[in-house]
Formats: sequence, structure tokens, C-alpha cells
Amino acid sequence: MSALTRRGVLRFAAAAGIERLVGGTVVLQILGCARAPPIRWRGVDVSSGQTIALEAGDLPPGVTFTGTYRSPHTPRLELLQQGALLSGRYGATEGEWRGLISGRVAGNLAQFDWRECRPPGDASDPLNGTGYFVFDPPASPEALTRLFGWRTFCIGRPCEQTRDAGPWTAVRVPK
Amino acid sequence: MARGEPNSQGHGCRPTQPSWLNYARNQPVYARYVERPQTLEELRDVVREVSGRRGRMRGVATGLSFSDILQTDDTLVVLTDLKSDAPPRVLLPLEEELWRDPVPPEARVRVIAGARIRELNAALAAAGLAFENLGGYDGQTLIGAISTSTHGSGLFLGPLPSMVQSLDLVTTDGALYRVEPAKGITDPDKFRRRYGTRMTLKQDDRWFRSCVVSLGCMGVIYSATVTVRPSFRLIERKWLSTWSLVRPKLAARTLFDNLRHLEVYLNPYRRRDGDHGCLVTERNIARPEAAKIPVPESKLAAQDLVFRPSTQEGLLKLIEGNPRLIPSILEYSLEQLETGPAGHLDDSYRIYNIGKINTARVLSGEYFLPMKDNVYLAAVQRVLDVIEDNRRRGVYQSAPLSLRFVKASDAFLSMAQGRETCAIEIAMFTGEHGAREALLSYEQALYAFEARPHWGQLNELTGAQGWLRSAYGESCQWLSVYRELNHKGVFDNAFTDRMGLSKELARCPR
Repeated sequence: MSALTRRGVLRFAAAAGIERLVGGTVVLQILGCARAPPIRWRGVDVSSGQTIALEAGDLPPGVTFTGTYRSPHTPRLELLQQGALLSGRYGATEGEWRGLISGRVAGNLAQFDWRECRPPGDASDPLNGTGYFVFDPPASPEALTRLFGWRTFCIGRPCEQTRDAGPWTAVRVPK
Repeated sequence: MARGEPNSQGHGCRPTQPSWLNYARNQPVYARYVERPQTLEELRDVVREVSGRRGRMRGVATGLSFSDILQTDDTLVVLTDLKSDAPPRVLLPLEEELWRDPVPPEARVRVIAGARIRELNAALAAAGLAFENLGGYDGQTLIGAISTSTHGSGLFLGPLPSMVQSLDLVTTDGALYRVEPAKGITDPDKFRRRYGTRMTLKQDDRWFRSCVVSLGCMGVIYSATVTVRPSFRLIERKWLSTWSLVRPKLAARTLFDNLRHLEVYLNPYRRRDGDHGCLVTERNIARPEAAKIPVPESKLAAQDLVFRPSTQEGLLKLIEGNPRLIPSILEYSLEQLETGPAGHLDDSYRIYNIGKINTARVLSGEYFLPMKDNVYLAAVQRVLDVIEDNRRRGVYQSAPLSLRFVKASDAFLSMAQGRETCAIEIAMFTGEHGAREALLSYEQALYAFEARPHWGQLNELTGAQGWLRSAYGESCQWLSVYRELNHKGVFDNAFTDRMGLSKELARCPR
């Protein structure tokens, strides 16, 4: 999906009031007005050991998604934010990059497409789909920056249906 | 937490009602006090109090064990209320800010003592994570299962203790330790800055390999930091075969090729053609985008019916009256479990859980045998011979033999310690004629094959003098840590007395 088209979809989503819940359910609430509930991440944060809920909102001034993260789902994740554009790559080990992401940032929300190579020896088409991250800035100087996200698989080529891949979370590695 | 009321009638006599019963209802516990701590401080208070009066205590949770390992006549500490405050109440803060740099790229969670596996599965799923491997039942606490080296099946997957990285242990006098391997995950300087003298970090292989499978003899494990992995799905297929076809493939190890998990159910009775029926279960990781293939509703309904208490009672009466029906019933049961070539595909933790069969009122023994030189296959033959002998005496084996395979463990008292292992589990209905005698006959026969019985299942002969040191080559190391942590005998009970642990320690080389 091109960035322009995606922006169009986002505008439609905002107008229609799309809400993502954990489990990837997209609930269409036709409200008849332009006010949209934000994307909300709800799930278990293993760092705190607690169930948390986060809403898309503003990003603190001077803060970007750019950085190196470790993730329980895709162990190494590197993100680069340039203006409203986000790009990134991820992989299991040093020097082995299995996946790419590209998308856009609005406030503390990044929405993206992702594409991932199969494990070595599997010649099937790469996996791909869509996803989002909500940026959670550290609450104290000692705390770590976190991303709470979700992604879906695209089934078929072209994409005929989507299936939940589940939460995608990450912790920024301190410099 | 209110201090537990003394559970006695004040005459020094045994009360008429047990203060606690295990899941299988074969181990009534007549404890003087029953405590149910809800916080770490309450747990430490209990241990401090019992240590102060040189009493004895035993920590239990869901009581899945059939053995005397969970007995005490003094203070029983039930750990199922030991949960964290905030939902989902089964995980604790990871304290990853205390880890050594660089942090390795593996996912971890910190689990509290009262957390049942099914609650943890739900919490992990909501975090996009899952356990690498699990046993067939999800009702017990994870830490209880780890402490007795409970396992799943997979020759390349260790028992549950193999996923542990760090343990928080409350021991004699209420002392609190974080126990890890020598090169453990915690940075000692960061830990000291956070905890000062409130908790001691012990990074020591001997301690860790002892405490991770402690059998409740080192203290009470409050929490464990364990390795997990991103959520995944498994595809499971179950197919019928015969022992004459399966056995050579096991011997040549070709049956393990390209399989993450393998289990074999074996009907101990011969069919009319002279062979034994088998059900082979194989599981592999499914493609991440694959759609679920659930167990058909009709099968779930049939299982629900079969494992209702009333049906089970009826079945028990039927086989008590007509034990000769047992071989045919077993063959029929295996046929019902076959999946067809498509199999089932679901989230890993749903596939691991074997379902309603867990509610059957059974007693069982499980014997861990070396894979090396196919010793376990000779042991299976020996069990089949014993079962045939028992049949001539009118004692029937009412469940199939279950064969599972486990990677070696380095925990000193894990049943898989130091060797690739085949676990042969043999269950019988609770209350069935001759059940305990039959299980004892298997245990007795299998010692010739270097068997190690599951600590949490029935075992009677493990207390023989010198047995522990002969079966577990590194048990003296475990015993030395037991002496350090249990120097007041607070964590002793009928099991440690029967095992003669203090005497065994005296025989260890200095």
C-alpha cells in the first residue's frame, strides 16, 4: 500500500471510528461524525508483569521512534524515523536481517507494512502483512522506552484475507 | 493472612478429617497448621516462625503429586494464593534493568509461585509469547511442575527446569536468595544497589542445579525467571500402528526424524494377531500463517462424556467385574484417538494440553530410562512381561503405556539428569483391584534398567540404602546444598525421612 493510499485509508478509518483491540479485532463503529476513538493496545507487558492498555496520542517533544530495540518476538529491531516516515529492519541474530518494515508516524502511533523472509531452507513466498506500534515513553529516568504493537498476516497474493499474528512489543536498548 | 488454626483435637491424636488432600485423593495430609500466604512477606513470616521453633513445613500447590513428597504433620504451606496484585496476577516485574549487558535475544518472563500453567498460557498469549514445551496438563502450578522436573515430549527439548534462568528462594529463617548459574542473568553490582542486604544473589552452579529441582527440600521457591518464545502453532497427528512396526524405528531412531515431539501409546496386551496396538503422536511447528484445525466438536463431546465421574465409575465397575474386557477396551480407546492425516492445528499450548483425560481418577508411576543402547526398549519388553505375569494372577493393567522422550538435564535430581531419556508412564484407576501392587511390580522390575521414578508419582523403593547415590551420580552435590539450606531440618518430611537423606549425605565423599 502506498503512503498516499494509506493516508487515505487512515482518514477513512478516523472518520469511521476504527478501534483495534487486542486480538486484532477491528470494530467498525459508524458514528456518523468525524470524531474517532484512538487505536488502543491492550495486552500483557512482560516487563511489568501486568495487563496494560495504551492509546494512540501525542509523542513527547523531541522524541522519535528511531533506535535499536530488543523484542521477545523479533529479537533485534532497528527503527529509523525521518519526519513522518518510518523504516526498519529486524532479525534473529547479529547480521541476519529477516524482515523489513515501512510506514508512517502520527503522534505516538506508527502504522506500517512488514515483509519477512522464511527461515533458511524454506523457499516459499515471504510472509507479509500490516502492523502498528504505540510508543510508550519511559515514566522515570531509570525506566526503559517501550513499543506495544500488533501485526497481522496477509494471506494470499495479492492479499485475500488477513489473520492475526499477535502482539509485537519491544524495549529500546539504552545507548 | 490469619495464622492457621491448629488442626488437632488437642489430645495428640490424629484428627478425623485430613486438613488437605492431593488431586488424586491418595495423600491425605494431617497437618497441624495450614498456611496460605498471599505475599512474599507473609511467606517469609511463616518460614521464619517454623524455623524459629525448629518445626517442619512443606510447600504444596495444586497437589498433582501422588507421592509422599507433599506430606507433613506440622505446617502445610499452600501456595496457590501467592499471586501478584495486578492482573493477570501470575507474572512479576522482570527486573530486566538488573540484567547483565548485553542482554541476549531470548524472551523471558518472571513467574510467581501460585501461577497455574493455564493462567500463564493465557497471560503469555496476551503478550504474544508461549512456553517452548509443556506437559499434558495445565492445571498445576509451573513452579511445582519445575520442582519435580515435570516434562513434555521431544528428544531435543529438556524437562521444564531447563527453561529456568533464575529463582527467588525463601529458605531457613526466612532468608531470601536469588539463585542463578555462575554466569547468571543478573548483574551483581546492579543487584546490590537495588537490594542491599535484603536479598542475597547466589550465582553458583552447584546451588542452581540443586535448587531448580529441589523437591521442596531447600525452601519455598517464590518466583522463577524462565525463557519463553514467540507464540507458535503446532500441528498434531495421531496414527495407529503396531509395536512390531514402531519398535525397530525407535531402535534405529528414524521415527524421530523431522519431528519436534513424539509420543507412543502402547497397548500392553497382544491382539489376536499377536502384535501390540500402538498410537503414535507426532507434533511439529506449523507455518505461522496456517489456519487452525480444531478438534471436532463430536470428539470433544465424546471425551466429555467418557471422562465424567459417573462414566468413570461405571467403567471401573465394568472392568472390575469383567477384567478380561480390558485389552479390547484399550484397543478401542486408541482407535478413538486417531486424528486422520490432516490432524489438529492450534496454538501450541492448546495442543500440549491433552484435555479431559486429565480428569480421570488415576494413580500412576513414571519411570525414566536411558535411551543409550536402547536400554529403554528392553525395559518396555520387561514391563510387558510383568503385565502378562500379573494377568495370570488376575491383575490387569487398565491403561496403555505412554512413552515420551526427553533431552538430558543438568539439574542434579532431574529424572533426565545427564542422559537422553525415555519416560514410561503407567496409570491405573484409583481404587482398582491390585493397582498399587501392579505399579510396585513395574517399579521393582525396572530398576534393573537404571530406572529413575518420577518424584511426584508413586515410588516405593527409592528409599533403599544407597539407591539415591547409585541412581543419581551427582546426588552428593545436591545433598551438600540441602545441608546448607536446610540446616535446621525445616524442609524435611516423611519423604526425606524415607529417603534417608541425612544418612545418604553422611556417606558422600568429603
